[in-house]
Amino acid sequence: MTLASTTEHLPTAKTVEPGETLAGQYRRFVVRRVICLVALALGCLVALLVDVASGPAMLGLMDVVHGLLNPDTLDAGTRVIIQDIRLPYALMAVVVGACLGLAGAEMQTVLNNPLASPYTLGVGAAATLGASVVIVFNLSLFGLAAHILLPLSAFVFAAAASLLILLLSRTLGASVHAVVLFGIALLFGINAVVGLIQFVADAESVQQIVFWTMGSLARASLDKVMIVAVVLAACLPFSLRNAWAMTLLRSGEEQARSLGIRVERMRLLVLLRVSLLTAAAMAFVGEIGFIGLVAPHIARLMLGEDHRFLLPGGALAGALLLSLSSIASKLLVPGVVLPVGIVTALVGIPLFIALIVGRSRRLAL
Amino acid sequence: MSLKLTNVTAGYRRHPVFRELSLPAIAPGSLVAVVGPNAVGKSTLLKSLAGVLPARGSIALGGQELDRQSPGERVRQIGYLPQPLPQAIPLVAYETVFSACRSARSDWSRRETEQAIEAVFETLGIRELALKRLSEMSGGQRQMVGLAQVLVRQTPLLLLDEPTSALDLHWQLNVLNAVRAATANDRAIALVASHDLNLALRFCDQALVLSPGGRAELGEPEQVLTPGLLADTYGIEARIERCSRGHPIVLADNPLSAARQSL
Repeated sequence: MTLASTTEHLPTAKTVEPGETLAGQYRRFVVRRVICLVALALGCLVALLVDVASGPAMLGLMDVVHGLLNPDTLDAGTRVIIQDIRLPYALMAVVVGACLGLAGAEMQTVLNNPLASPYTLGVGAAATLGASVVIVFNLSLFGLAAHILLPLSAFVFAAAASLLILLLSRTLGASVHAVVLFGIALLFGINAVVGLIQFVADAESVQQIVFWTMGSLARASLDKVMIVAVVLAACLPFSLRNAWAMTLLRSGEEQARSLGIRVERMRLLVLLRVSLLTAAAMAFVGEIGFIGLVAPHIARLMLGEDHRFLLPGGALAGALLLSLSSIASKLLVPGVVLPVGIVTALVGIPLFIALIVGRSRRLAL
Repeated sequence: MSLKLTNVTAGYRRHPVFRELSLPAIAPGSLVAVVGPNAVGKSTLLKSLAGVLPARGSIALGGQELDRQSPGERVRQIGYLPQPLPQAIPLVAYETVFSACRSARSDWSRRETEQAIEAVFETLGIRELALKRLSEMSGGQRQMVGLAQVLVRQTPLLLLDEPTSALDLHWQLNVLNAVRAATANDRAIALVASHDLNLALRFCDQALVLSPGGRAELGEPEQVLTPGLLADTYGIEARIERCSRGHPIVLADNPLSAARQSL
């Protein structure tokens, strides 16, 4: 028996050309992925511009581009609308979406769980608890105003929830199931406490908490955008440096260990990064669900599991989804800007289903 | 590079699977079958050699203690194929193998990596799978990709935990030929855990039989795999016969009623 004769037992993939090196064919494959990433980035840019153009006073897309490039040419009213209101709002959608998309992609990989998202470990719920405490008890610490104390408290509670999970996981072995179970237990526990706080709170405070849980970009300003962007820019290089190891972890935990990857250590560092990204994102806009869960799946459908592409793809898909949601939140009910957290699922689900159906059709051909 | 184990104890937390295991030196170029009943420690032995499970005692490859090496140095010495197959995810076979090289053989140039990948896909006969996703493959095909991840790194020690469990007879022979080529041409040592005693008799230079109670016997397969040892180790009544070509074959007749095997 010759080795060459053995391939006839296997189904032949149409894409492999017999005369060409595998490396050459793989390079073409990689180029297609780079094109997908660039398309996602362009999609984000267009969505950002449309987001700036959308609102009660609709602006032309070219006027927005022109106004952003040459602000001096704008009249004072339009400049205020674009620079002080619409641009922070639209940029916040992009950076928060990117944070949640990246956090979700990393979390799904290290927990080896397609249902994982920043919500899985109760990080989002902890942010809500932090906000609720400030709202209901009308706290004022060290003379800080509520608009500073509220995001700060949300951030501290979210980070504390993550640290608690990390501590418990580390003490008890950091298996994937342990981390997920702790997270779910924490989620329910925190939700119960938030419920209790709402029960004893007055009507106005309850309304504020509910509004927080709906998520809103209306609280955005350029300073806040910068803070979230800095957290994202600080986390992204560390995520990308781990890309090979994360790819191997997805192919199997034992495989990754056999290749010298310290899986427990990587899991803890990733969870720490995810908590930072989530806490930064939610501190200023409130709870925004769905993006962290679905954006990584959209990236996976488009780019596969190579984390060199999946991680930036997850961030870009998150940014695109939240940007599109932001546009929809302004256009769905004329004259009213809906809280963006309500709209994310409404916008994301059709996009997600379209991708799944498109992929199923391609596979069936 | 020879492999030498002296007083090795390994297992899980407070439950060592084997204690104080010592073996004669295994020579370079040896293909060794690791056999024994369920739960006797075949996988544990391979994992502890690979550094995936902690072990006490001395494990020396080419005279160098493995536990004194950094994880980076160790993965250049040891290629370990775990029992679980690579997950069925949308990762194409080429990048599965490529990522293993980038992670474990960072000393290779891109050109060296590409040449090694080309060669391993050719040797295993799976070139046509290179751009196929793991999620679109059968279990056997994924096992072949897992093997490619290990063989591509050209390590002097190969630890393969049931490498043919998901393969039909044709592919089993194909894999064993590839492992045989690695030991013969590159002077690598391969330890292959398996339940197939006939594979040990037919293809391997030596057999390491692990028995309940922590006993271990290493030697030429025909000398080690005797009816008496099979009765003691597996609790079976068995014969060693010869086929028409003269190769020895294990024929298991009956479980021995006195012996009760634990799973």
